Amino acid sequence: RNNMEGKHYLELGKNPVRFDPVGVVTNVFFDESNKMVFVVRSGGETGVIVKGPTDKKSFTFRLKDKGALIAIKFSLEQKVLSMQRSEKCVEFANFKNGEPDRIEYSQTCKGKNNKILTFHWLSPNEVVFVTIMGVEFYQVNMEKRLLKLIKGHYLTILWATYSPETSVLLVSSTSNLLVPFYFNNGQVTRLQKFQVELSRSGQPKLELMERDVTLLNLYVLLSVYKLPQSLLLGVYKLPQSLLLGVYKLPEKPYILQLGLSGRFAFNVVDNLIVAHHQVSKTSVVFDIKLPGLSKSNVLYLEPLIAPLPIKSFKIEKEGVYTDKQSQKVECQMYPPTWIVFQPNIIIDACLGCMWYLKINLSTIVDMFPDRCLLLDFLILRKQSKPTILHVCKQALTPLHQLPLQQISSLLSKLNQVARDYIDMELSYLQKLEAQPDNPVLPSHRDCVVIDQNDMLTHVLTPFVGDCDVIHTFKIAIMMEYLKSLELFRIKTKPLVHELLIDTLVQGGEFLQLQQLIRHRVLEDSKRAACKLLSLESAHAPCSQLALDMLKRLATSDDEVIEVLLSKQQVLPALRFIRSVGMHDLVPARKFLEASMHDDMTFYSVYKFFEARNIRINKRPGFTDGLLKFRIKLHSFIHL
Amino acid sequence: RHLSLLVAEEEEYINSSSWRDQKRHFFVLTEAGKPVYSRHGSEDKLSSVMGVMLALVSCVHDRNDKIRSITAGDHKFVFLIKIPLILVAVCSTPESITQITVYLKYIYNKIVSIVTLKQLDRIYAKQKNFDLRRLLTGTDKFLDHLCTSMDTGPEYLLGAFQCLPLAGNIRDLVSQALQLSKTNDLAFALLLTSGKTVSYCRLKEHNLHSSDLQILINLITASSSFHAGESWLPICLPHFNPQGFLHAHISYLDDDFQTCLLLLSADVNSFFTLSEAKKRVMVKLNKHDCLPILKLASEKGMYNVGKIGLPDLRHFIYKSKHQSQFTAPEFSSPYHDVHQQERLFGLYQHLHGKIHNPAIPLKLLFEVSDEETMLAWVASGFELYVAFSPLVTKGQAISSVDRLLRWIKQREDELFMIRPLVF
Repeated sequence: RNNMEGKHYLELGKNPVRFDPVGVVTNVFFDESNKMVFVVRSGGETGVIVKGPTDKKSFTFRLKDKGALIAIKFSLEQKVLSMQRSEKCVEFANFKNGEPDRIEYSQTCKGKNNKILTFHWLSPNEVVFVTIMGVEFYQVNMEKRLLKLIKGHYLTILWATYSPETSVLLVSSTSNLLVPFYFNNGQVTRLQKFQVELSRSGQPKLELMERDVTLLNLYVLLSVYKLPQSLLLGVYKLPQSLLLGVYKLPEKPYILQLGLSGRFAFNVVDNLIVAHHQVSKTSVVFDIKLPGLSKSNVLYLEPLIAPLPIKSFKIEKEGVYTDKQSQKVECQMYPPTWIVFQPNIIIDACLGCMWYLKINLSTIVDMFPDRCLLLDFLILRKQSKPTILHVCKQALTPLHQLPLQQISSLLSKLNQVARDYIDMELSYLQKLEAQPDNPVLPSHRDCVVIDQNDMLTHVLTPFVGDCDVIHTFKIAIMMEYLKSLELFRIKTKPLVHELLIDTLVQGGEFLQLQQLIRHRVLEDSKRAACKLLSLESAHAPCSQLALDMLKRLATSDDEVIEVLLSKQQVLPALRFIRSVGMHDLVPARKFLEASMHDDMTFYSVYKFFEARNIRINKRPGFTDGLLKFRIKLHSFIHL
Repeated sequence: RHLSLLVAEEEEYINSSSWRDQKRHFFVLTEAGKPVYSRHGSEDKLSSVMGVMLALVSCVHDRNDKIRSITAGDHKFVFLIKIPLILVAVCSTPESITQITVYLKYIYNKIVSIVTLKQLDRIYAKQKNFDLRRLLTGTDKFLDHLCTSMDTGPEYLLGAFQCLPLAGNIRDLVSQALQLSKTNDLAFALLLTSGKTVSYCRLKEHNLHSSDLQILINLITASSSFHAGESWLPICLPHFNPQGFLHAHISYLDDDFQTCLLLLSADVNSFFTLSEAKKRVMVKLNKHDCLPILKLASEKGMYNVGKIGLPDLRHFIYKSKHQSQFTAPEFSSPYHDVHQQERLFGLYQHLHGKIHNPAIPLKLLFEVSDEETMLAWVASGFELYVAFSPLVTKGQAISSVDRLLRWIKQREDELFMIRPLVF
């Protein structure tokens, strides 16, 4: 960890969404649900530019300037444009053909002295108002241009935070009392409230503010809040069952040890919690699925890697060009103008930039001293397959070689994932069979699974081919891999077996090869049998092993016959064809030809086919083409 | 110097491959180490080898034990100690030690048949280093013949004899003719054609043991000296009585020396009585014109296995346990050359040895090899050894054996002597 100077693993996405920065007549709004930036010039009179979620997507429309905007948002799928200009009322305009409808309609929050804190779109036509007096859930009727209150929950609300990905709204009712709401299929569910204990006895009471709480959506929905004046971050896990509408209290299982005090902002990248610390201009990452220190029912997590800054970023400077080439300037990192949105959005409104934060797995690899932990970390990431394979390959190369025990545990980790995948896939397919029109896509398909093909192509085959590695180690690794597959009851692919055979032969371990086949560690296959046959010159018993294997396969009768005949084992070949009921079908010539070397064998074979001729043709003779065999027989008998 | 030359010559001989590579060696020596007989090479040149044998025997004897055999690689060294004689076999052949021991007993019996046990004991009681060859002069050819016969003769392996295949009523006529030879002190009357038994007649209280019969057949087939007229010869039949001689009247009944009559009497002076008896037998045989029929039967020889009509059957040996007789077809292809015949006989020896293994006796044995499939079956009344094509299946083999047994049963009268007569 000492040589981390100048290193990065967090980066800002390559193509940020660029927009006009905040200025005298320009206001910028961010629509979290649609991930769109609204640049409003002169209250909309001179145009509203909407950009996002990527830099390429943008459109412009005009608005009448009816006063300062507090918020401007699209409904989902950009069906309705909504604008808040007062504390009590939200105005709506149907949005069609890139233009807002001229006829606007509005909705005022219920109750006198009520104030709208914020509003969120839940669907193309459902909107929720969060007011100081409660939560109001409306349905928008676009044709009639009016809103209908579906459900209202009334309670005092200090502030609220909303997660568009999960449709969960968390409101703070009284001091430190949090109430979650869940929206699903046009229904609002008020979930059990919970109190956050921040104060320690004998200390002044601390109050949880809106800026302290962020809803993060990673493996599970989390409510994260920074404990004021401490280096810790409390994490509530909102139970999965919440999404099924089951009533259950949130747990409080994690404390993230930030190690720094002051304001933090949070992003989620690839299920990692990224905590940005503005003062030190660094960020730290946590993974709640990786092991931590458990103390009195709370899991304490440390940052995975020491605090490091996000990689610096250069942008083209607007308006200044020299010789057609845009001049690039380095952005200021962690400025106070950065605003962070979920899951991984960083906006600098003064610069006119919206980035998506990314994690660079290939650079993070070298920052983990513990390879096992690294693999655990990588398995939990998306798109980490090339990195995992790289790590595995590296673990086997002489310079970075890990002890066998560690390699074994790496393999176990990968195969555990593969096993889980298989189990989940099977149960999914079962469910699919029971309910063919089940639209729910299985989440496990997003997970990174390293299968045998991946291992073979990227790790094991190059490894076995590496001349610098000693044979015993190669064999040990191959056996370890096979053992691991067996341990997790994963059916080994023939290619893996073939590679093991190759490895054993390369190392001259024929006895071991023999044992492995005899005890069916190496499974029977035609390819394996052919492989063994090709090894006969190196180790004679290989051909018998191959023959036995072909016989067991029961689909390779022709091969068995060919192999036997090529060894002049004509009688075993005939016994074999009889055992598989082919004795009336094979051509006599082939067998007679192959038995010419030995008189007794020839006699037996000739008599065998003669008997067959009698059985089939009612006479012993052969066709004229086989005359030479007849001559041979007579020369033998009349010796 | 003379002695060392002799020793060198001896060494050279026993180191020569022509001697060493012989597959079956049989040696007979006395307990004093005097050579008596060696199948291959002159026993004179083998005194040092026999010395080693004697040393081995005495070495084990000193520990109050008895040496039976030594196995060294492919070679088996088998010892039969019949004081005053020691018989040793050195074989690199498929026979079991038990079988080799039986062969040694045949050699021993042959020697006893010449000198009687009584005489042997008497001589060696007096003179430990007596040279027995003095008494066995001229009998080497019988021992050699015996040894050669044992190489390929099922009769020695099975302890049974083979009859000349013959219509049952003719055999009965021969038996009746033999019965006519009855005189006082006549023990056995035996008629052989081409060395094969046609019939014999015996005293009611004395069976003719197959090993005694073999000694008689060996005597006739080994020598042409009995062709001239009627011979008179003392012979001891060890199973009948090892202590004393019987006296054999031997005569050929036809001009081409095919059919031979043996009359064995206890009376040393009965030559003329037996000569008369022979005439009675002749009259009876001539009356029914038996001799030409016997000649014809002998020319016809044994039957061909192809006659049985079992396609995979190549050869067999069937032994009837009650009669101590066996039957086997003549050799036909692929056993048409001597080399193949010897090989086949080796397989029979192997089967016989395995199925009669004293440690693990078997009832049924089925062995598949590249050349043939062998089957051996020991039942209460018979022993059967069969060579099939190597491609026969077990099922085919069993059904072939069933049909073969039926075929033999049908021809029992012809193949075996099933109604022996007594005086």
